[in-house]
Amino acid sequence: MAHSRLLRTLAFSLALLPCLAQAPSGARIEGIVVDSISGAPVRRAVVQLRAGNSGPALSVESADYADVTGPDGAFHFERVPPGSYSLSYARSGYLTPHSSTGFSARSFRAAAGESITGLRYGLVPQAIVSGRVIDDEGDSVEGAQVTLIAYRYTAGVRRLAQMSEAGTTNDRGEYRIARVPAGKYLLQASLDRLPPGSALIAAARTPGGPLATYGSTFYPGVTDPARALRVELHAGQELAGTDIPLQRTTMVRVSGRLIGPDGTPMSRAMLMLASAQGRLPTGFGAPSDEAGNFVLKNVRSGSYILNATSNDGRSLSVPLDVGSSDLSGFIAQASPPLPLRGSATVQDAGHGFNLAACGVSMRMADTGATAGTVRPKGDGSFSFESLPQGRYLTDVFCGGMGAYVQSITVGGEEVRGRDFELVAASSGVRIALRTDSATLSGTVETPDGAAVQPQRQGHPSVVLIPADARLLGVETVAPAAVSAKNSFDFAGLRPGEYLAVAFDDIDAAQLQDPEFLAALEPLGTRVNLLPGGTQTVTLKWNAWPAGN
Amino acid sequence: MTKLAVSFLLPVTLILGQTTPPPAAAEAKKTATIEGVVINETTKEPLRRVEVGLRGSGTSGMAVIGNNPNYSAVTDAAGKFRIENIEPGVYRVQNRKAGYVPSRTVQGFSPHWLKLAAAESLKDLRYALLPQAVVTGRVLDDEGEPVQGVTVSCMRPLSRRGFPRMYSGGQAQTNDRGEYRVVGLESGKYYVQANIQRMMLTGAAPVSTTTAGEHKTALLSTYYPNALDSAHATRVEARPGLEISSQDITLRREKVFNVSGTALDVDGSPAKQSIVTLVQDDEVFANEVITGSGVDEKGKFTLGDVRPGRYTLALSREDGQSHRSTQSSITVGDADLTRVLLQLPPTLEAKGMIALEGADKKDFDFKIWVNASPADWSPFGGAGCQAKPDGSFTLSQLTPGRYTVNANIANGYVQSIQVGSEDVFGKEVDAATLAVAGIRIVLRLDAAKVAGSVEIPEDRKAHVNAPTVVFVPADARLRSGGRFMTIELDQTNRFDLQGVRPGDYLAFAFEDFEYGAFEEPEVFAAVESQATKVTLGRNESKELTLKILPWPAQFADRLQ
Repeated sequence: MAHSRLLRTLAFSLALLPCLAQAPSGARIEGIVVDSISGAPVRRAVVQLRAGNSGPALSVESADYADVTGPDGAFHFERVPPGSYSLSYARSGYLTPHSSTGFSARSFRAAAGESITGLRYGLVPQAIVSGRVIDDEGDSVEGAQVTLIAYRYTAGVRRLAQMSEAGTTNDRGEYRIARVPAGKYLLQASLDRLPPGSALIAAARTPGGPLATYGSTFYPGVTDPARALRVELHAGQELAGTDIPLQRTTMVRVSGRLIGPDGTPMSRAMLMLASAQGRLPTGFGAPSDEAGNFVLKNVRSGSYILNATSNDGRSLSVPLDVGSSDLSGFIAQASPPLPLRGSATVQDAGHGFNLAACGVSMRMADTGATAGTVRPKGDGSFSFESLPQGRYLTDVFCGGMGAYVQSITVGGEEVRGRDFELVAASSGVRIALRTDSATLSGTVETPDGAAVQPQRQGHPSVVLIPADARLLGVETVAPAAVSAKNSFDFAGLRPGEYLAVAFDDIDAAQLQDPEFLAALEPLGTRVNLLPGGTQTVTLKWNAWPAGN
Repeated sequence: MTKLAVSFLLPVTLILGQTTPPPAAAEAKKTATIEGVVINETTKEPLRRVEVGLRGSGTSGMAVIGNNPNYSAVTDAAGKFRIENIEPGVYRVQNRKAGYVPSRTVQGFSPHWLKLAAAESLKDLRYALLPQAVVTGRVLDDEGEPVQGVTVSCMRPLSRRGFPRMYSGGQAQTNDRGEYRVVGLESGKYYVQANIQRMMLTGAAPVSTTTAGEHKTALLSTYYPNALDSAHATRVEARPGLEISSQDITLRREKVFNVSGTALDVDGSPAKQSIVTLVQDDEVFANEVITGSGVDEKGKFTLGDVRPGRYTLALSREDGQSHRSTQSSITVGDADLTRVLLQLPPTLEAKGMIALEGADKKDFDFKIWVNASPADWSPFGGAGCQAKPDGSFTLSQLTPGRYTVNANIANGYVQSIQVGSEDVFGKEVDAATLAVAGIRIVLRLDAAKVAGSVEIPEDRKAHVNAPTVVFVPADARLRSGGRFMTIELDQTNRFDLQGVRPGDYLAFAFEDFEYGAFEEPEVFAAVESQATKVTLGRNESKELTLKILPWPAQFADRLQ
């Protein structure tokens, strides 16, 4: 057993010392911190208790009690005054997932004289990636920012997002990024913040001739994210030698005019280019003038999405392909908006079902932004007066009424879970609902068959995933929280086959990733829900798969 | 001159006025061209991919603000550069390359100031860069584990008028393996300090712990290799191009105590908007703040993790233009220090008047900045104000103590500062005296001019290219307050100083020069007798030829 080392701030120690003296019957809390992958004890982890429901301590200094695990990974607190606590644990070299504070947290109540023992908390070891950034002459590049980038799902749209702190290259061009969660990443070296004295900057200033300079480059040395290699990192892995040779490319001038959906110039609009692949911000941007004219002085050739927003709230988003020579007179115009009509019907009986209580939303497939939401009339008809042209996903909400969407068709084509193109000739949207939805309820137990305790496993949720691979990440069911009695309920489900999985903690963004969802198969239980049926299932609790 | 601490680091004359922006692109003006080579000073080999930048300025020798050059080029494989289409004007040459630091050698190299005339073409310029020094190592805790997120600084003390100040040559953060790598160092002897205060605590090993029944201990900022103060630290000698590795620092874990107490304003109410700082009594790191704390609404403050020792505890309150403070010496022993009382002292107010002599007051703008700077160069205290159009001014909230009073005027000079019957220009004066007697500042506009060149012996001409000219008031009491005027000459070898206060001066020209060292009394004494004496009368213009002097050999080590 470890020697307990109590650590606390002055402010709290003054407040709590009298309590400790008067409350010999305080609670006793003890447990162990282990490496989630190897199961080995983790020594020198900091375990903290913070009173109340204010969440985990922001730092060691703001904790009420803290202990440091011994060589056996054990920690203990004694004579803890009764009350609610948030317990958090952390260790350098280990990740602290789903926590903005850097500590994983568990909350619970401690009663007078209570002995809470046998707690077991897992920490996932960090992955590390390191390498060098060099230029095309083989020289080290100092001050390049290397970031890990991964595809993430936001509002159902897959896009590239920065996933780590930037690792800055040193004078030898070396970078090292620690605290990386397991996963598949693109590595990007960007040169936005090069230190003074970098000849790379100077190259960009040399007058005369087309400008050839270095720009953001992806591992293993490509400028197009579509051609970048993904590196896979496992928990605890250290991946060295991922060198990024910078590519020198020609920069060209792009000029043109921004015209809003109403045909008038977009004056004083901010224009930004994002990569066509993954919509990663590129840093190329400029404002337009009073007449909507813009000039981008140095743009690298490639495929982009040009996004512009003016002060009056008008925006446009058009593709822009930049070749190896200057491009002038580019007219970026948003197409005029279009109306869209449709109707919703209830297929089975429909005895008094109030369609006017439902909602229909049109979500833009390329950005995930909702362009409009309407309520159908009593007869099920609905219309959107003006939607920007583009591709759309249809969302239907009939919350709490036990209805589900059986099909959504546009021009006779099934578009449930898929996007369709809104053009002038688009026919109406037909939504077919049914009320013979299924319900699923059940309980969650720990791998050893015991009931779940919040102080041990946190607050579990159950995730329901459609078995149809085409619907992964497209048709999502909101996760259900597991109650204090370890039970959960889903209602209004579309009949069909699902995978049900219980987790200690979930990361909502990952639940939109089809690749991630497909990998959950071995953890869950398959259920086949029949129309109007009710099913009960007992699920095993799982730790959120932070490592593999 | 409250902020003189900054200005006297720069080789700038304070009376020359503002830096003018670089000349705007003008049509039909013949542009200049420069070309030359950059070499590695150590190996004498040409350096490729050096950014050679020209930064525009109004006058030779003036400080250049900002980093971005107006013109630049990159050296080729033979170290050669060429910059064309340069607007005529005065420029500072900045040569930069990652992994290299500026060379301070002037002999045999071209001046860093260039005065470019229309259609001028300067060829065969020759510059050097020195390979950087690097210090690397690990920061470990008392159990030998790496500590991440510690800031490691390489610092060296440079003396300025007998006040040692620490200059950071470079710093770096430790990574997950506890490794640091400080680059871009110039040669010199450095203290290497792992600073725990700026450590990011998240998920890190425990910094401070209390073992049941024992005193609280904490990991403390530590000097290489394992020292709590500079006296026990081992300095690391950095040399150009050398990488000094394995400079591992083991953080010290020591018993620590709290220092707490009450901070009051002059009227006994809690001191609002105030901070309490603890400064270590360290010979070298004289002004290093160990820790600080705010003051709560009841006037209470607590500083944690303080190890036993002697400290200066300062209470300071920033309030608009005034800065009030008080200091107290404390000794932390083997117990918490509680009930420390700090109270801001009553402040004084000094009224004054600016008078213009020998010129018509009608067209004169009296909106002149007047200030009183602490005579001991303390960062605390001091006051400044702008005079009203009628010339009256009030220095309010002066903390009791000794001050020097000065006024800044662009086109004239301060003739005298009368306090009672005494002229305190360039002298220390007590705040109480200022408050009682009042201040009368006499200005004149008939300043002198001095221009000239430096005579370089024939046999030295190939080697001496950028002499530095220094003007020092002959009256020793006028030398305080950064009144040494230095001008680094451009390739034309001429200087031109305007707005000089009439009086007696000592003029020098050096090939090797270090401003901070030159201000040291013993260095100055070694060269004083070789000065060219010059007396400048009102409105007088003088032409001067100065002989080049060697830097005193016994102080060669003071050159950086």
